[in-house]
Amino acid sequence: MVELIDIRKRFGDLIALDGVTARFAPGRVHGLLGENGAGKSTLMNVCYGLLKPDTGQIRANGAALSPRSPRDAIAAGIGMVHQHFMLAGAMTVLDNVLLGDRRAGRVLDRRASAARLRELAERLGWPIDPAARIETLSVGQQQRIEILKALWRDVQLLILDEPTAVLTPPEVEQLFGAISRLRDEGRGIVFISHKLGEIRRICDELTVLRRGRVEWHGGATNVSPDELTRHMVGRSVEAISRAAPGATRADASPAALTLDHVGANGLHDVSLGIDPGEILGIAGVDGNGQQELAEAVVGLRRIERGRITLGGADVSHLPPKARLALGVAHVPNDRKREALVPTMSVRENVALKRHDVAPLSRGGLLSPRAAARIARDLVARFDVRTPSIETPVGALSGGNQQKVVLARELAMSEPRLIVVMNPVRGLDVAATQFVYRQLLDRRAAGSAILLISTELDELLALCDRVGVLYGGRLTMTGFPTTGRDEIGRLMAGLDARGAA
Amino acid sequence: MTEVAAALHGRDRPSGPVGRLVAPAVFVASIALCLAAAALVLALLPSPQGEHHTISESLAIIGKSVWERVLLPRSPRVRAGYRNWIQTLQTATPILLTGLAITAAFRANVLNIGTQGQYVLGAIAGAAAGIYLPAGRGMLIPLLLLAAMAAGALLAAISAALERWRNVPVVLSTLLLNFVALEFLRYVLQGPMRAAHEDGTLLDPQTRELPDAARLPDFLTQSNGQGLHVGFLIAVVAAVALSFLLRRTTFGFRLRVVGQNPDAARFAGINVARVSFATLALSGALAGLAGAIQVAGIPPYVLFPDVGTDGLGFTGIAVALLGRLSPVGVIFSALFFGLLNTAFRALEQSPLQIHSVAAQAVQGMLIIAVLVVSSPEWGRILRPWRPRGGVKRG
Repeated sequence: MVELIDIRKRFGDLIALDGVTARFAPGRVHGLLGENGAGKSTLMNVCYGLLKPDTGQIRANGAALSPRSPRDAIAAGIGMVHQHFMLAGAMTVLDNVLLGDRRAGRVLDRRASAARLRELAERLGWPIDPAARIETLSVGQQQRIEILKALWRDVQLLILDEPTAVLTPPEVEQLFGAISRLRDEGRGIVFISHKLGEIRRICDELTVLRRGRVEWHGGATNVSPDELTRHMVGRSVEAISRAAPGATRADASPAALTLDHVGANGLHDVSLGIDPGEILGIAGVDGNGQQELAEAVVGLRRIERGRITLGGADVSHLPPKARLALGVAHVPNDRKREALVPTMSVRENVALKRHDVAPLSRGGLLSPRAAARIARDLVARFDVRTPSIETPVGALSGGNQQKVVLARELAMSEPRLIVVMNPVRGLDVAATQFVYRQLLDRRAAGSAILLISTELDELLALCDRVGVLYGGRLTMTGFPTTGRDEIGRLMAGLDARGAA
Repeated sequence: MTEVAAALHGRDRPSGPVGRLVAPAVFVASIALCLAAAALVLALLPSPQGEHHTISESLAIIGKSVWERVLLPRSPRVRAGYRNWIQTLQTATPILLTGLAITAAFRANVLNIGTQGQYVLGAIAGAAAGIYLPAGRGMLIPLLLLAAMAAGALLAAISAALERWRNVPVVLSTLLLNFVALEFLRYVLQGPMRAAHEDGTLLDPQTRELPDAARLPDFLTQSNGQGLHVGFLIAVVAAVALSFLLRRTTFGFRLRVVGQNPDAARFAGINVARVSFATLALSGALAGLAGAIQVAGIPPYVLFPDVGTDGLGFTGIAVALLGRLSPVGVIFSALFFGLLNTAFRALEQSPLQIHSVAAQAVQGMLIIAVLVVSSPEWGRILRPWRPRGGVKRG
């Protein structure tokens, strides 16, 4: 029995875990559900010794445990298989299993170890070759090696972080078979997933996390997918004052953006259209094609099929710069990596995308004075809290960094289309409200907005229409006439009626 | 590897009036400390003549020689006028240019460590242009300098092309092309460019002298006929130009953005591959220029095989790092290296007769010490004294 009692964890302003209590019993498969950022991974990283909780207690079989590294956790019988495997590709299966195993001693007895490993694998119904090199194995086989690695160390609780995300349906069946066998051996399993169908099939009990708290806990059999969805995405819509509908538009004016059967790496046959003054929301769990969609629209990702138009003009194969000139603004997902140069000043970051056009430069020469004037103006208008425009943007808080990005993207010209991805991730309430106000103002001014977000509340509050990306495919919903439950089901890979 | 420039350079520029002063002040102090330590090491070395000097005597001799033969513009005893300083500035010239070559590349996070090869190729191209082009006085020098820059840029462009179309890391291809350039130098000096006597017998592997029209003119010429060639001025102008390029041009802006955050550069619509390509060519051109200036600036105006092994291209890396990848900083660090060089020559002739091998060893240790002191780690330790830019949590 592993118990997590009243665990709290803050990252700066962000409360990732707000007093979470969970008990993982032997011989049970415990499903852990929640949206992105609900705290699932943080909780499991605390359990596995990768993060230290601010307060709270971890107990293993009644004894208090404060794992300071995975090594401590493993010694206490807790193992974890991450979504991204931690294997050395050029080494053999046996080497990977023995790697870091202290009991192996200084001299390895490979033959005995190989025999033991083969026996262990066969018990799970997975014949393996201990001498095979990892890089020659399929993803599903590599996952088995990860699980074997944990079992080799005789863990009593095995945490599986979205184990089915990378598997084909037959591999999922084999994984479930192994999980059942481990349960029958009396081991505990924590199964993290977004896929409700799977969760209900394999789990004995469920815990739903939402915004760092336990939203619901109970047996897996007496709960419907609808109820689970509701627990995951919540009911309350925060009051975001919605502006009047967008600027009236003449019916003759072309759509601001259309995608016509667009296919690219990570996107399958995506079609959509956004009118001026409209916000189209794209919901979905991270990694289902959101980044790819944003990159395809702004020109950073080559499309293999289909057509993209901006204001009626075909831009399918124009580079980012040309689309920028046509009025495409972009607030990317990862502001520190994709939107800003943290070591450079606020002034230079404001100038970043238009440094080579007037008034910021003439004839290849920069005009720092014009850049300073514009930066000062934007800092005042967007209330960026910075000691000066020469301060490196990396020294500002997350909210102020995002204000710099928004100022650059929204206020330096009249954008025809704004592509925004997770714009308030990691921001506090005030900064969040500010971002929403800016987006609604642009909508009122006639910009089309493509808002890609994992936060369903945000989408429902801001968008005129909502589509869902799952596995690189886009499904438009009937929102606003159909509601959150249907969207939640689509995000979980079910069809709109709730079937798997 | 992607963040080498960022790690080396810390941030793009220190902020605040105090920040601007603290770093150089600490820097100068540490160099002074290193020099004092080096002097102490030299003083402890036994004299080859077996004469015994106490440490304080040795230190006095070192101080006196360095003062009279290196720092003093007009020594009453040496009677060489500006000679010491001419020596220093002449030595500083090629490493200033190769240092600038490294600076340009590293600021864009392009790891060009082929400046030695680009420098060699520049020397070959410069010598060839000077010897074989028929152009008259006035045109020949600009032509040979341009030829050298083109040759250096071309060699660097090979690496850029290999990275862009064949995914070969620049750091590898530039390193390996150094050897190609060195062997090419040996080949041209054995074969096509080897000079012969009047009677047709061959000289040692070297070219014939560059014609007068191809020799860089001197200024500050002394009574003994020695002067400082204009290559020094060209190098200083190149430093100022590079500084201007980085600070004030759109290309320089793109170069810095690519160096600091290539992802953000891509998301801002900057063609990262094109910027890296152009940067590498620029870097190669600067290194090539250094090669031509060595051949056309220094008597006897002949291309020798030792150009291939003098290491001045590699020294550029140390010079650039010591100058903290700032073109103006590189001027000072090249001068510092030049001073060290003349200082050790002076010590060789001093009563201590410190052998040039010992001198080189001390020089190497000194460089390492200075680099350690000027590393970003020290910057981090010093940071509490700098004004922190940033009101948190807005």
